Amino acid sequence: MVDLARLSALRDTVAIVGVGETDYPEDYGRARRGERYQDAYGYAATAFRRALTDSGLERRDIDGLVAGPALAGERLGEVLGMDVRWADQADAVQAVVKAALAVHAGVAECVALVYGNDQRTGGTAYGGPGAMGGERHLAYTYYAPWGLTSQGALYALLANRYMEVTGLTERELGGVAVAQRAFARLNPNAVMRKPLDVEDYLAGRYICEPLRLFDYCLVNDGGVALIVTTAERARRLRRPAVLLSGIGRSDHNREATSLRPRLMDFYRPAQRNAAEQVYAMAGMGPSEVDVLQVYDSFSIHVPLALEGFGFCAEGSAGKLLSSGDLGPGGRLPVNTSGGHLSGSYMQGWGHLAECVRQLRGEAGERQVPGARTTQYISDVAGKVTSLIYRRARA
Amino acid sequence: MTTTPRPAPQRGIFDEPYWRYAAAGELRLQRCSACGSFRYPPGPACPDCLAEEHEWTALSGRGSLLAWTVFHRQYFPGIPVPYAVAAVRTAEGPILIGNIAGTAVGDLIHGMPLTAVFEDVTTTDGPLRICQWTRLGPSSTLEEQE
Ligand SMILES: [Zn+2]
Repeated sequence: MVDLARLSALRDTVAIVGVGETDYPEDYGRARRGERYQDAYGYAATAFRRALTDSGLERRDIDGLVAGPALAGERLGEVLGMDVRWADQADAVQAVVKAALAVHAGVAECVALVYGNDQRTGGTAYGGPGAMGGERHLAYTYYAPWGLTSQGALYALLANRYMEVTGLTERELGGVAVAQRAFARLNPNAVMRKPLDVEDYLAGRYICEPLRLFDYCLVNDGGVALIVTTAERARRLRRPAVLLSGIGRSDHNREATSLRPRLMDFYRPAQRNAAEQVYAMAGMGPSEVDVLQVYDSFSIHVPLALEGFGFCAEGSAGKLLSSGDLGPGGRLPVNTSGGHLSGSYMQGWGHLAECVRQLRGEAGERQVPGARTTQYISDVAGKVTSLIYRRARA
Repeated sequence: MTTTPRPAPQRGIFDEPYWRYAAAGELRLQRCSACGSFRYPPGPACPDCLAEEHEWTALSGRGSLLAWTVFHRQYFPGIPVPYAVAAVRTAEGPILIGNIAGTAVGDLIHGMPLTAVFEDVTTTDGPLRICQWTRLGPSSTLEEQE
């Protein structure tokens, strides 16, 4: 059972005080020219240096370390020269949750969350017989004899069924890629900055029908780091503190490999549960979200999140996607850095950094004016997690 | 009989009976002896009641088309694109994955009735008989489609 009293004791007690990212377009250009000058740890080190500088803390202040999924904790500690008293390994959202719990419990005071990935220059395969993630998601590789592998193909199956049930059109779905590209064009650190309209989208080739090239995330190298500490300590630092106000999580694993939660339920029960918890803990609802970040390895994640978390009614996301409301100047800005589709594919870590930048008012041309609350929604194969952040009062 | 080499299946210890029955042209799934629930993919315990005991129960081979995707990017040298992969809701409940034989991709319709057929293929680990699906209709027998 959700114990709201215990959850609420955590609300606004932990802050993000530093963010750092690598230079995505420059690294992408180098990778395309065949240069290999960094590995995952190199990107991680660059991001960590920048996050540390951003926070105003010293390296000796950091007593906790969470390594991203592509990094080994021991090697990361060795590379960064850090002997900490608490360490763990996690994906983007779980990294924040674990760090928050560690700080709240007092097993660490300042935790560095560090991600690095050389997936492009290192040649990570997201499709084919050895598709990435098969060791954690059996469905990614189990159906190889029928030519079905990869996360993308499974989301294409979902999109096929979802379009049949809700009437979502390919043109409407194109609204996701178009809105995020419009944001990417305002972000100097986004990889894809050429104009993209819905006709360009529809002219894009299918990868796994009905998903096209522009429905798929980029594959690029880079790193992201965040520094998490107590709200009290954050007040003594130079940057405006960003407080963690809500955490929601719900898994949908029953019959995951046979795809029932994906194709029959669109993961809605898990989304509803996570939504209920995150909003209850933060004491607010979807209408109060100023900026939304959605994990988008594929465009179809966006309508699922909008419906699952109550930004619109079930089956009605199509209109919202094609309305322009998700893009710059819109009513509900989504993936304001360009997301995974046009910004940078940092497996959700870039979305976390963007939540912080928007709340600090540091997002440049893509800044959503007066943003006070941001939400991140991540649903990877039915593991739904959401975080809500608020700007601390000055 | 095709000579196209397909990727070999991932075989855990609980998968062996499935493939042994498939080789004999039978579609059988693990079914809980205690509560009757199907278990797919095969596994060590019933997700409904946690019992270990099970039987390998024959399915009727009837199903309907739940969803499909058409691969346009070639991920496997042995499978030329475009090709469709379907999720089939069996009459007994479990959802199975297969290719659709004898129906053009453009003629696929959600909910269309399907029946299981077995196809002999060559995989990277040698010959294999796999369960596929074909449209179920009065004029649609296997012989006509081959
Ligand atoms: Zn049972």
